[in-house]
Amino acid sequence: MSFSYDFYINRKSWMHDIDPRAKLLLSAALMVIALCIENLWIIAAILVGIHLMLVSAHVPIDRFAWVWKMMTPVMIMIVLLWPLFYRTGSTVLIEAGFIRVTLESVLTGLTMALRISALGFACFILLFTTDQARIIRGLVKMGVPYNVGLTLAIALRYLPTFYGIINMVIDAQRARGLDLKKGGLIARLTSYMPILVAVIITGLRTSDNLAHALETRAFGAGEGKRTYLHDLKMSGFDIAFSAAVAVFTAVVLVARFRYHFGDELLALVA
Amino acid sequence: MRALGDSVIRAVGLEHVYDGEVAALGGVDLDIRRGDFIGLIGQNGSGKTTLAKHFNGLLRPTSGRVEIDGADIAGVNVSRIARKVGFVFQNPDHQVFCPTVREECAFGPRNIGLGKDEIELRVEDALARFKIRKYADHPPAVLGFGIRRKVSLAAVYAMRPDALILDEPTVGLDWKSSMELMEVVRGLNEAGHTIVLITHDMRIVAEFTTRSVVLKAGRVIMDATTREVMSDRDALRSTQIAPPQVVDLSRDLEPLGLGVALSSGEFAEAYYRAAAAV
Repeated sequence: MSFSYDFYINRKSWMHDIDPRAKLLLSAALMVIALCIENLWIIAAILVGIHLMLVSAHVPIDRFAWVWKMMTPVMIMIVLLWPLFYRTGSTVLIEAGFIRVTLESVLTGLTMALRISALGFACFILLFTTDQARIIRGLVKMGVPYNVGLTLAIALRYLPTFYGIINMVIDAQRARGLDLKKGGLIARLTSYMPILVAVIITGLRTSDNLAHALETRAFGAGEGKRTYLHDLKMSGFDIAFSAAVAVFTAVVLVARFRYHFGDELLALVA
Repeated sequence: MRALGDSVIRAVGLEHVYDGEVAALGGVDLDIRRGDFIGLIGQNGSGKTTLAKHFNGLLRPTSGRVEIDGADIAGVNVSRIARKVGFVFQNPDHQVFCPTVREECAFGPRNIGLGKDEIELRVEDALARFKIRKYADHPPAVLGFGIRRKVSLAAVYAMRPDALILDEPTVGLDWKSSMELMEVVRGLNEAGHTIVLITHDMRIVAEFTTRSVVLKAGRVIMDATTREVMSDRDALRSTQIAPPQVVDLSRDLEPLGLGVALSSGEFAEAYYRAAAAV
């Protein structure tokens, strides 16, 4: 299965039905919480919570697996490198020359790695359950200028097209004897030049044509108020959901900064 | 028709399923022989490009096999196959990237490890054959579409592959440019290159190819001389292909005993012959 350009999974679920603005708020709130909390267990709990939400939204397991697969190399790097630079802690596990690895530094590295995946999954809650057009519509409703929203929509819309072009260009150059797997790292990177240049040329041509196509359909002609065929309206549930997210986030932040909740690595209560 | 040589490309029981879901080819057997000039025709989605991409290893069979010069190409790198089978893509922009046309033509020969002198020789030959020498030092990306198309063909031809697969080479070209380009392609065929032409333009198929392979829903439903294929109106109709008007006209005038004419020249010749006999 290909996950290369569009993450949206078209299903019927309560998560899919929620207004994109409420989901943007949820994603932002989860990110803020994940960044403020230092406690390993709470961050793990946030991750579990996000997974439960995604399961309830009927997101297939292989999509989770794909996200984990993408993030694992970064997480491994963090777990391995963190203890080398974060040298505090008293429970020394390894001490050899300038290397001093403590249990606390390993656990902090692990917390940081889980935090990164929580940040990633917080985004995927939105991307897996909201189609691109609705995300853009949500942003425009929140005050992002229409032109910016449209530009973003076009950029997202053209991702699959460009993915197709890149594959086509790779095929075209391989058919001319280009071997992308030959030689060392530098040789391999250099062999991507023909692909990069051809894709950029095609991209420039496409953007030029697209700009003309937009102008010929009178884009930018009027200053009148835009109307929408599919207008977004916050339902009672959306409002209640957003309020719950806001209150929950406020409570966590007050608890964190006023009562030191979750600022210890392992202990839940300071 | 010229005598054909041994097998260049052979598909045996070729099946291809995209992403484990979409069956694009359902058991294709095809033997392309040295010197063949084949028109690969069929409606959109019939599997023409999918089939052709197996001929140089860009796609690998889900089952069945592809042989080049009698050897199975399973596991053989595309860049190695490129020496024997050239593939020109539909959109020249997916191919051109060099600062000059000359360098564009040298890219393929360099990839297959030819020496400097041989590369120069081949580039000069390609520029001359496709009549693009005057653009040799121009950046290909800024040339007109018709010239970019010629550059993309010349760049693949410069590798001198035994077989050339051309995916819709005349799309976007006016009739005169199409004819010019196809005359060059005919010249390549006469010089011994095997040509596989994917196209929807039946006039081009009728006028230039000697053999036509008709695909429908991933299967070969006809494989015969172009004259035989063009004569089978019912079979063509079942694949939504309309033969050129001159073919229809000569068939409609069957009582005159004109035979099936594939081009207006052929028709005129047969007509005058019949008229003289009367």
